[in-house]
Amino acid sequence: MSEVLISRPIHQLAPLLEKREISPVELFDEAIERIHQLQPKLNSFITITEEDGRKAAIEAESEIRKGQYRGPLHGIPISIKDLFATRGIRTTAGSKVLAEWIPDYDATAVARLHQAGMVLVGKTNMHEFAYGVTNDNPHYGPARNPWDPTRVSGGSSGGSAAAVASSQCVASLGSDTGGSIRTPAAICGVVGLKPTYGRVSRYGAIPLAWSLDHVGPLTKSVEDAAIMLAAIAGTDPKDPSASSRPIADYRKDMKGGVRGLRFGVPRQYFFEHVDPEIRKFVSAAIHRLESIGATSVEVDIPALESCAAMEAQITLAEATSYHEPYLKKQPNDYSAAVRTNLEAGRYLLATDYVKSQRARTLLQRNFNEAFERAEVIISPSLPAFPPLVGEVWVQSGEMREHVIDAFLRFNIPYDLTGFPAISLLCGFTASGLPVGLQIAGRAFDEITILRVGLAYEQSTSWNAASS
Amino acid sequence: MPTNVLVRLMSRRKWIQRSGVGTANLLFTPTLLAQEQPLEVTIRSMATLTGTELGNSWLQPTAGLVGTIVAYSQPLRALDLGSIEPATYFKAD
Repeated sequence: MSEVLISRPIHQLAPLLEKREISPVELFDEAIERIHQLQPKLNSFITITEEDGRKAAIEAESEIRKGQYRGPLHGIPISIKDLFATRGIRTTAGSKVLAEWIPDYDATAVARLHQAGMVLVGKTNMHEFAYGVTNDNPHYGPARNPWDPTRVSGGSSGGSAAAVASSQCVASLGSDTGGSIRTPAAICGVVGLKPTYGRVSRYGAIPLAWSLDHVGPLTKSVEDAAIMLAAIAGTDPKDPSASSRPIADYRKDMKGGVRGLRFGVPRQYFFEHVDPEIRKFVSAAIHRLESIGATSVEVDIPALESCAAMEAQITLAEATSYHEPYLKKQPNDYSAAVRTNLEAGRYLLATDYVKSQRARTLLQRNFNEAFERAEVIISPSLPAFPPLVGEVWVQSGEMREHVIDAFLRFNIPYDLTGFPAISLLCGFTASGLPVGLQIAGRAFDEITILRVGLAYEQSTSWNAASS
Repeated sequence: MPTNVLVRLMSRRKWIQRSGVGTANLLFTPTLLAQEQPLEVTIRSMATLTGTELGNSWLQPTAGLVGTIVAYSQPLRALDLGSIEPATYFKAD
């Protein structure tokens, strides 16, 4: 019984909580029991907030009993990536530099989840300062893959993805600068949504690169991603990049199905150097979408070969700018890999940084041309499977490459353009590892990628919620 | 040089070698190797400019990474962006 409730998605639990058929305290107890059971094996958390979480669960129970039900997140056990400031709770960003930092404020997204009635169960493990793709953290230990604990969970929101996949919580909040929501979501077999740049406030999220950082949810289902997005989206005077565009009714409008929808398949770049088993599952997903009424069209997106350089130039320059004071005061508290990146950021040319920022507009134009022919673009989320903990090489089809190069490749075009993208499960390999399908859409058109994701998810016999 | 940095550096070289177009990319590797030594000298000489004296143990990996990024930024530098301005969220109010 104890695993039955906590393994269910938000959209199934919320009506039960509202009708008082289950209690937030009961759900919280299941989550905590599961965390204590799995923490030694998976190391998904840096801080477990058992005491505060229990108080919140008791309060949620009391409010619901009095008829003060706040909505679908009320009483739901949620974890937060340790990148987000949480008032009164240690926030490390996975680093030694901030190991003792206790903020006196909440990040905007965290504050909105509190307003929606979440029960915070803990702060999840992450790659040091979100500067990496494996979540092999030298200070707090690696966040391990729930499907194969000898492998990495992906990063940088690896603890969040692993915690959701292994039902240590029902949903999590993550961030994505070069795929840090979608990569671990794909690896752990859950749903990861990177909304449009500006859709969710970045205030209170320790930056990696201001102009590339996105905040978004990791969940057990596409509908849950819509519920989380609705809670955290919206303008914020504390974040100059936060958009004041109206927020759609995601949950209602995503249910239209895909009949008549055209989706683009970019054979170049997104289907090159891909593991054959991943390619097979993504091709099957494409056929599945066609079988439920959508039409595929081939699309070609120029200038993608410059994405890796653009991402590197922007991330290194912006990250070094942010970290400069810490780098002066506590240089030895950084890992060698992160410190090398930060040191290198001082010696790149300003002209290359500005050119990268200019080239983002070109990339947006090129994608927008493709979006004139197709409402969404489909690709694999990743070209390769996660390496063993401590390993850095992966096999992307015929090409052996570094895990950073492999895991950034299909993700960074959407961080650079700012366009929304979601990763969801599209199958399991013979060895039991999940495969991720990426669906990307036009700026601020989260509805359409959620609609396609939901239609696909409902057409399969398995989904992340059953994991 | 820390192993992970060296490995990443080697990986990027391989990626450059394999992901581009034929013989033009083969030219990157010797160029890159040749760049690293002068880059260390350049970085050392920039201490006045950056206000940071980079210790010996960090000089080589840093120069290696900078050299790699500069090398694979060649397609970016070759892009003709016409009158496109950088995207920015800076607001005057």
